[in-house]
Order: sequence, then C-alpha cells, then structure tokens
Amino acid sequence: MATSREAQTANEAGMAQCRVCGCLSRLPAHLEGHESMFCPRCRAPIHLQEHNNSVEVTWALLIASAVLYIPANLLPVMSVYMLGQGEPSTIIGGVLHLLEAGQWPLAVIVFVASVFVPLLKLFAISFLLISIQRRSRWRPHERMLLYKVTEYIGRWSMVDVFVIAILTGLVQFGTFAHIDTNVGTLSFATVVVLTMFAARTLDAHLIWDISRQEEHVA
Amino acid sequence: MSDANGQPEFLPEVEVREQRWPSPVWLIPLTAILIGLWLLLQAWYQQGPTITVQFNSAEGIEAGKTEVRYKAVTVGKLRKLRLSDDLQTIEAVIDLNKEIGRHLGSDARFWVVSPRISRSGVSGLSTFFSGTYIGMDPGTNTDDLSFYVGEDRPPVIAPSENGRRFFLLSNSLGSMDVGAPVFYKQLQVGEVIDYQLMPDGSQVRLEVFIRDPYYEYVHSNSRFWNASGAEFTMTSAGAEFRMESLASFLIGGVAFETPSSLLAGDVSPEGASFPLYGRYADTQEKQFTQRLYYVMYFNGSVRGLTVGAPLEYEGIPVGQVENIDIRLDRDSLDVRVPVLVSIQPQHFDSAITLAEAEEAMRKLVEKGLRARLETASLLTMQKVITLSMEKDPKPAQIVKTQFYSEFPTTGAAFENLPLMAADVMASLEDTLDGVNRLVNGGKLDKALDQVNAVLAETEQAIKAAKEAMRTVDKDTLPGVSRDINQITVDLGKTSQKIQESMLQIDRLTARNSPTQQQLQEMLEELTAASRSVRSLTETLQRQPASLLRGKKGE
Repeated sequence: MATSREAQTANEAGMAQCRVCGCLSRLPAHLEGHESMFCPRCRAPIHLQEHNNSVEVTWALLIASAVLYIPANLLPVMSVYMLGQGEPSTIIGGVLHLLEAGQWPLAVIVFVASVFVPLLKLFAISFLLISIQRRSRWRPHERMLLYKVTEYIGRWSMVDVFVIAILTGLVQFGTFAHIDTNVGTLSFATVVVLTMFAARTLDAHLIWDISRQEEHVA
Repeated sequence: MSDANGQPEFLPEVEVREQRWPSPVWLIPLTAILIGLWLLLQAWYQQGPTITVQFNSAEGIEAGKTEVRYKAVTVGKLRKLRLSDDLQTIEAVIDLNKEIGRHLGSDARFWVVSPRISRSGVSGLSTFFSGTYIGMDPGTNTDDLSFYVGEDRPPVIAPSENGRRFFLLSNSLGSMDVGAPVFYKQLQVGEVIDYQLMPDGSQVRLEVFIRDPYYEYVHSNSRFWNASGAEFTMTSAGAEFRMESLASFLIGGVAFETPSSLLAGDVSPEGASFPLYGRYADTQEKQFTQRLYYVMYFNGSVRGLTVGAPLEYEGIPVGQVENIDIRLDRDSLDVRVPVLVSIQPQHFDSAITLAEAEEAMRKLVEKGLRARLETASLLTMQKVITLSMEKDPKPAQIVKTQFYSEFPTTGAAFENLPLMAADVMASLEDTLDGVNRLVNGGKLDKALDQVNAVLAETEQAIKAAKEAMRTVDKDTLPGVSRDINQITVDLGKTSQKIQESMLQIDRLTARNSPTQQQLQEMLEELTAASRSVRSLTETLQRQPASLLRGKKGE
C-alpha cells in the first residue's frame, strides 16, 4: 500500500497518534457509539476526525444559547428613567417604541442586530450540524460560505450589549435620568457569546471530510 | 515489522473504554435550561392577581404607564382602561404583583393620587414629577376580590397608620371638612377622616382618627367640641378668649379633653361614639344624666317658646323644653299644646336618685310648685318656663298619664293679664278722683292765685336783678377794668425798673466790678485819713501848743 499513488492517512492505515504524548497506537477494528478511545500510554482521549466531539460540543452550546434566547427576548434588557418616570423595556418593546416614534431605520437596525441575527445564527449552525450528521454532500462550498458568514457576523451582536453597558455607565444623573440594566441583558450577552463559541467549535473540516471520504471510497 | 495491513506489530492497541457519562460540555445547556426555568418560574411567581377597579374618571391615569403604589412602593401597573357598560364610570384593569396580591383583602381601597390643593394644604406634589399614580391600601383581611370600587379622594390617614377611629355625633357639620385637625391640649393628634349624614338625617356623624399614642387619652368620659374659629365669651366673671390654633381658626377642627376626675372612664374602644359639643363652654356644663320628663299644658299661645328653651327655678336653669306639639282631641274638638320638658333633679341635689326626685317633685307640687310661662326678653319675645311657689295655689298635683306625667301650670301672663289690668284701672280711677276733688274744692283756685302772685313778685325780682346786672355790666365793670389795666401797665413798668435796679446792683456787687474797686480804694483812703486824724489828735493831746507854735523840732 505504500506504493499507492495517493497519500495514505494514518487513520486510513488503522493507526492513531496521541496528540498529548505522541504515542502511535493501533485503532480497533470496530467502535460502538458509546465507546471512546484513550491513549494507551498517557490515557488522554484520542479523537479521530469523524469521531470528533466538535459536533457534540457545538450542539451543547447551541442548545444552551437557544434556551437563553427566550429570556433574552422576554425579559427587559434596559430601564430608562427620566425625571423619575420610566420602566424596564424588552428588546422588542424598544423596537416597537422606535417604530411608534417613526424611527423605522433605527428600528430595523435594532431588530436585525438584536433579534434577527442571533436567530439566524442559531438556525445556520443547526443546519450545518444536521447536514454534517446526515453526511450530506450537498453544496459544500455554499455551506462553507454560510459557516464563514455566521462566524464573522456573530461578534457584531455584542454591539447591543456594549451600548447598554456604556449607557448604564454614562447616564447616571440620579432623579433626572438614569439607565439601569436588567437581567435580559445578561441572557442576551450569554446567547451571543455561546453562539460565537458554537461557531468556533464547529469544525469546518467536517463539511469536507465526508466528501473526501466518499471520494476516496469511490 | 508489518502485518498484512502494513501496520507495525509492536504498536499498542488503543485503549477502548465504555463512556458512561455524556461529555461534560452538556453541562452548559443544562445550566442554561436551569437558568431559563428559574427565570420563567420567577416571572410566573411574581405574577400577581389581575383586578378591576372602578373609578369615576380616568383623568391623569394612562394604561400601561400608571403605577399602583402602596407606601410609595410600586406594586402593580394599570394594564388597560375601559368604560363601564353604562358609560357612567371607568374600569381600570390592574396587574398587581404577587407580594401585594397575597395581602389583598376584600376591604382594599384604591384611589387616584394627583396634585391636590385644598383648604388644609397642598398634597400629592410628588406626582408633578412621577406622574399621577393609583394609591392603594391592601386592607386587613386576605379575601381578595377581582372587582373593587375606587375611592373619590385619597384617604387622609396613611394606610395602616396606627391609631383608633371614633365617631362624633353633631347636629351640623359646621365648617368642618375632611382633614380638619383634632387637638388634644392644642396638640394635633388626629384628623377628621370622613363625615356622613346619619340615615335618619337627624345628625351628622364625623369619623375622626386619633394617632397611636394619643388615642389612649380618649376615655369614655372624654368630651369633644368643635374648635372651629375662636370663642369669645364675656360674662360677669370677665372676658375669655379661646382658640385652638390658627389652622383650626381657618379650616375648622375638633378638640377633646378628658376630665381628670376620679370617675375617669376606661380607654375607649375603636369606633366609640361621642357627642360633639358646639363649643368649649358647653362641655364645661355639668353633665347630669338623670332627667324627669313632664308634660305641661299652658293656656294661651306658646309663641316664643322654642325647643331647648330653659326651664328655670328662681332664675336658675334646671331643665329645658324638649318638645312642643299640638294635639286635637277628635271627640271634644279640644286642641291642646303639650309641652314636653325635662328637669334635671341633680341641679337641686347632685346625689338624688330618680325615684327620690320624683317623690320630692310630687311633694313640692302639693306645696304649691307650679310652672308658668314667662317672657324672658321683651325685645325678642323669647319665653322661658319658670317653676315657682305660688302663695295660695289652687290644689293640684302631678297627674300620671299614659306616657308622661302632667305637671300643673298656672296661667301667668295670659290668665292674670285682665285681672292686673283691672287693678291698674282701679288705681288710675282713685288717682283721678283725688284730682277731681282737688279741682272742684276751690282750694286749687286759691292756690293758683297765690302762685300767680308769687310768680309776679318773682318776675319783678328777676327784673330788678337783671337791671342790677346790666348796671354792673355797663358802668362799673368797664371803669374797673380800665383802672386795672392802668395798674397792670404801671406794675409792668415798676417791675421793669426794679429789674433794672437789680441788674445794676448786681453789677455793683459783682466781684472785680469797678464800683467795688473804687469802694475799696475809698475805704483804704478813709482808713489812712482816720489814722492821720488819730495821730493828729494824739499830738494835740500831748502838745496842745503845737497847734499854735507848730511841732517841736523832731
């Protein structure tokens, strides 16, 4: 086999190298789903690419952020008090307020950045994960683009959190005006951070792995 | 070196272990789910009851914005406003939070707080900044309802303030208003919180609130009086001026006092009723509880007699008129006017019992005590009933009837008036007779003549006197006065001269004056001269010949 035209990977050769101690070991012929592999020398877990826990971790983070997405939108994020008058408002409440005031471009920006983009990220990552798990070979280039876009725009959702943080820090004039943060902000920030992590942990190799394997088998 | 697959033989096998636990990364979504559940539970737990409150007007309140506050803490929010079915009121749908929902009672009260300016002050100023809000008092029990009727105005007493409520019964409201202060020893201890007409319309019932430590001073024998305005009384004992405070002078108020007598009552329980006296002086009157009621029938009109008119014994009030009625006996067509009076026998003897008093009254009547209608004031024609002992009364007694005993009366002014008039006429007649005799007897003529003569003489005398006076006026007086004038002028001149002389004397006698110096010099020279004379005389005595031959050779 060493004379094969194509380069053979260690995995294909039935071998794995521990990434911790560098020990080369033989892979078992068959591995059950609930079993996992460890280095015979240093006992560190050994991951092959198709058995990478990237999918699992991404799912975990994704579910966590999906759960927190609910309180982030239902609970108030910020309270603005002017002359003692004011009340906590939610993201949607703020958008509606802006629409009422006729500031619809601002309303669109807030809606897209705070509601639409996080939701889009959740769906995009879910779609990528499902496609990887189903070993789909459908349009890997487009899926790669989707992944890149998702990873890139993820961080911009933090703008909302920063705005609230800055306003809370700046606007503290006692009775005349003051702005407070509410628990919704924490949920929202967590959603943004978790989706960013989810995008990071998703191994883009996996989109290509299956294609390559199929190619190879063929 | 390699097996069939080209794998080195010596390579160790990968250790395969069964994975019992899922990856620890699943702790993240687990935590997220727990946090989410906790937040949802918290939101659900804080969800309180939704109630509907009926108000007369939605002025100043706004759905979605107006808050419900209890002790300045926001406990709910107005969700929406709607008109009632009959369009007479508005209904406010309010979301209350869980905390207050737990304490919401069936007697909870709601009211709208907005800036309010009244006679007793300005309140609710904070709402200028915070906006109008709905105030509430959760009430005492926990049987919450879903529908409440809002109050028209904020309660004067802050919700759940400690103290006691008492009721005061007054004949009229006077200048009292909700919020009027209640004073004890001129210290404000509470407020009038409500007033209402009694169901029968006879009296006004004021509800007062006395704050915590002070309600202990309200005893069963406490007296409340209307402290509105100022009280000025002027009696034979002097003038007295009484005013609780400037505030009560302007907006009215109630004051109370607990007499420090040995018979001090217990601390009054919540909701006790007291009479409200019109003024302080009324509370000072002896409070006699025992009353004897009698009916009196007077002959003639009772015009001028009013309910409350005093019943006097020798000028001392001992009771009052309670009622005046008019009755028709259908059979005899006899119209009678029964006057119901009450007598307080304790005026006579403070220790007397009612039964004893009744017996005593019976005996007094047998001895001649009668009631009589008298005019107290000729100007106002006000009448009083007086009790007095008749000298030789017609026998009478207290007659027991179905309701009240009947007290015998003696027709005073009305029955006796013709008699008295006859007496007066008789006297007048006598007088006239005497006058007649005098006129007809001829003595009068003589007397008149004499009088005339006397008068003529007197006239002459007066004339003479007048003449004399005129003479004095005309002749004597001017001359005298001229002389006097002359004398006065002379006197003036004389005194002027005297003055001048005195001045000169002054000048002469003054120290260092030239006259004095000259006098001194003269005196010195005189002294020298007399010395020379003396030496001359000595020489002449010793040598008399020297006068002829001159001095002998010295």
